[in-house]
Amino acid sequence: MREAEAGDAPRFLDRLRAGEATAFEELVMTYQHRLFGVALRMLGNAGEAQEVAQEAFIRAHRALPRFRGDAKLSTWLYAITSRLCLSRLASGERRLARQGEDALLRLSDSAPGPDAALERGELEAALQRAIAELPEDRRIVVVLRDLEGLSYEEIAQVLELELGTVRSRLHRARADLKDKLERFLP
Amino acid sequence: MTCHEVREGLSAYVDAALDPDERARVEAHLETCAECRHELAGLRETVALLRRVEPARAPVGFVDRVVAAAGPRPWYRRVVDAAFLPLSMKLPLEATALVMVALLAVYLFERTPELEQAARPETSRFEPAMRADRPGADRARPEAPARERREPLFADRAARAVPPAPAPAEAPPPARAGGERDVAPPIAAPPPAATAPAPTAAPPPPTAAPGAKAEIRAETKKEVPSANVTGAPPRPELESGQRALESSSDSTRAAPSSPRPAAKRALLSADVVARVAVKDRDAAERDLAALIARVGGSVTQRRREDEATVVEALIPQPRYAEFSESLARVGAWQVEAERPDLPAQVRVILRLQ
Repeated sequence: MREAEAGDAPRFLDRLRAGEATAFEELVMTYQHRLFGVALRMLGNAGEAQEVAQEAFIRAHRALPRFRGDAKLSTWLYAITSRLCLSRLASGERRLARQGEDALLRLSDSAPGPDAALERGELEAALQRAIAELPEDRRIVVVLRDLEGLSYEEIAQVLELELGTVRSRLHRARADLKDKLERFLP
Repeated sequence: MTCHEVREGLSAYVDAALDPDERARVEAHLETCAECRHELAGLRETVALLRRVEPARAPVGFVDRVVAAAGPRPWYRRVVDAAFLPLSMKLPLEATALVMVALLAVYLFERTPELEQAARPETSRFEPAMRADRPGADRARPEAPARERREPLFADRAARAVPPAPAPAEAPPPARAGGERDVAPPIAAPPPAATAPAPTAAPPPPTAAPGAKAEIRAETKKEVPSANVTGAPPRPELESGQRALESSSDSTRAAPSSPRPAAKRALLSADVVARVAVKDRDAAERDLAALIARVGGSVTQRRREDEATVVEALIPQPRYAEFSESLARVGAWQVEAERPDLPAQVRVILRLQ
């Protein structure tokens, strides 16, 4: 299960804006896996995902004094991370994604038995591959919706898209994935 | 509602994100269309599959690395960061600004003679004339700095005011270079017209560097007192008197037709410079000549100008006191400058006016 939503409580936001080190540390602890997960699904590489997630937190740290609280803290952080991912993917400077097992093995910290691990590993490798093959603008939508659990409205806010655009991109992404993962479906 | 339209909305239908009207239309279509129901089932299973994926976990130590990289900034650093440029940009900018200001100041100083004169009132007015009169001395100073570029301003003035002495015997030896600071101004004792060369025949020496040498002389004033022409100690008060005399005859000095190298030479070795206010210059000249003869002195130079007569005389030191007392009878006189310790033969320059 994900960590409990870090409070957007005014007191916590005040501490963040005031530059309180412990508050920022709490923020990182709360959102580290989510931002890392978005970056990992988008970039397909654990090393790059870590770089991007760290950069997202550092940018947030610099911008926190100016964070007005119009959006939820989580939405704001997802927005920073998503922009960084899309920017890196579009830049051309991105290193060749290493579709290595190291990234896939980090997807779960559970310790299943050998058969279950094999099955899970196969499914997750197929999922990762199918997600990675999606066009980037659809990939980010399905990651935010089906892996991170954001609402359509939140996705629209994060990606600064119209609600209808979110809906159609999500539909196409899911339809692609359905075709690619057909053998895993009942 | 067509199958295509329904399938466009199926994803949102799975998420219960359709508004009630759309939802009702989709459900009505699904009841009658097996293919669309199959499509819906596939979508639901795909979404369920995606949601079974375990969330990714950031690597161990990620929080520490992020916190260290973000660096907890104290409040004053945040204020400074917001208010100013980073030091890495600010320092080079400030250094560049300093250099630019310095260069601008030097440039203005170099290009503005008035500014330079204001900065060196003690030397700039007199020294060029002496330099023009001492080509040998100039050559004896190879270290004359690179300020020669602005020399023409002064060299020209110097050439107009005081051309070189025509007689070789009158030319000061190079050895006197160090004592130039003690020389008298070029004005007070005009030379006989016979010895004055035409101004056009008196170009400034090619190596003349008046401004530079004026500066050097100012700097070496205290260092080379022994180089004084007469061997006497420095006479700062004499200089002020000479300036006074010079300023009183500015118009004469500026005229190209009245070069007075002899006057300058006279002042080089003058021990006393005085101004005597008289009513009748002719009578005063006669009285003065008589007085000088009476004390055993001799007139070495005499020059009549429109407004004054400049008399240079040698007075025996033992009788100088008598001379100065008797001078009061010639006219109201005022010492402009006087050497503290008078030599055996006191060289006196008197301006009767």
